[in-house]
Amino acid sequence: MRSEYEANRAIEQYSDMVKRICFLHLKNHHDTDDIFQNVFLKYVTSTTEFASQEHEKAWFARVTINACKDLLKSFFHKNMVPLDAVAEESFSYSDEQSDVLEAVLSLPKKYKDVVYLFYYENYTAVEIAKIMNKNENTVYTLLSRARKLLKEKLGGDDFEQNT
Amino acid sequence: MNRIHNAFENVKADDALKQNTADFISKEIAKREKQNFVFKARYAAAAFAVVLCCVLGVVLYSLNVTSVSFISIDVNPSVELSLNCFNNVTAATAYNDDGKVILYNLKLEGMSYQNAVDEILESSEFDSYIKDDSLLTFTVVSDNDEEITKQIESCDNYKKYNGECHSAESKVMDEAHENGLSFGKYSAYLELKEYDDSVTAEQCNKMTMREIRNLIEEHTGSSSHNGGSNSENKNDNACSESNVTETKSTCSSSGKQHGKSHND
Repeated sequence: MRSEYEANRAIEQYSDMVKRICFLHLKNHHDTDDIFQNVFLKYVTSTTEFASQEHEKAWFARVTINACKDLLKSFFHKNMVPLDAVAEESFSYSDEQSDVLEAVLSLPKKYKDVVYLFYYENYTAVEIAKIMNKNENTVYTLLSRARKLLKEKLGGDDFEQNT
Repeated sequence: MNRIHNAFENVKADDALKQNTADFISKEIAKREKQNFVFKARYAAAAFAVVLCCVLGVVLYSLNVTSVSFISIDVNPSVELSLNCFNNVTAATAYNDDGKVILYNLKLEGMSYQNAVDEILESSEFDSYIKDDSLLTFTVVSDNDEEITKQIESCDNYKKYNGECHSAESKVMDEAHENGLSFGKYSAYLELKEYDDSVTAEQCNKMTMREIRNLIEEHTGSSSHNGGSNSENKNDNACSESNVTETKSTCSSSGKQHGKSHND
């Protein structure tokens, strides 16, 4: 089991990424709290030895994505609507940022993680394939389709990034 | 930089979320360490108990199978009983063919030596070796020889056959076994040898206890066993019945000096 010191370092280092992945999938604070606790507890109890910081970061991305999917799939979550389910996140965005976020959040579930990992975390399609345990070509396809949808919604050419 | 990167830039975990998570993890670590300690303590206790049981088992087993006391029963049949520290029979060994006949149908291992002695003396095979002048001799090698002697003397069958009971030293037993004799008969041989250097252990092995005793008495001039054991038996009976303590101590002390004098 990892120490409290290691846990605090990981919280400081990866909580923003975990938060963003939660933001893609979840709609309330309560679920985000759960995911945070689950992910960092898993980190503390995991016996995985990380070869590098990149390895550790990829581990957090994968575990968070899986935790979100598990939560959304759970019977309890499907059948219960928490009181703060409609509460909105209190981030301050410009109109431009808000439009982009809305466009990304409106994407089908299967595209969200790929778009986030590619455009924000700057992972390559090969790395994303490893993180998400998907075929490399599938990631290319998902990115291509997501890009097309975003372009339709937001216009512009800056989604045309080399994969 | 792309628009998506810019849009996500403001999505950050707030301090409260980080703090809540850190507090939760801190509590979980403390809880799990405590559970881990309890688990380890239980595991250690269980492991210790298992080790203790194994050690106790080995100790009990070794105590059970280790012979610490020995009883030689000799008429002509010569039989030795090995006893563990609980005074139970661990082995019964015949030292001549007659002894083998007696032990053939008897299962004595695990019995208390009192019961084993009764089993032997009550067996029809043993009875067939007892004649009017037969001499039944018990010889004990033990740190607890007085108690064992006392118990043997209190057996009904011991009284019935007017037995003799002596003690011997373990050194005598080792020598006896090297010569292929029971230590009861070997003790009698040593006593005879004091008066007659020419006698050998091999010769004594072929004699009955009565024959050895008669030869000893020829040298000592004693006649307490002469022509059978009746006169001595009466004395023995009188002794054991009227003053058991005295009889026992007499048997025991004479036994300690065995090889020099019998209980006559």
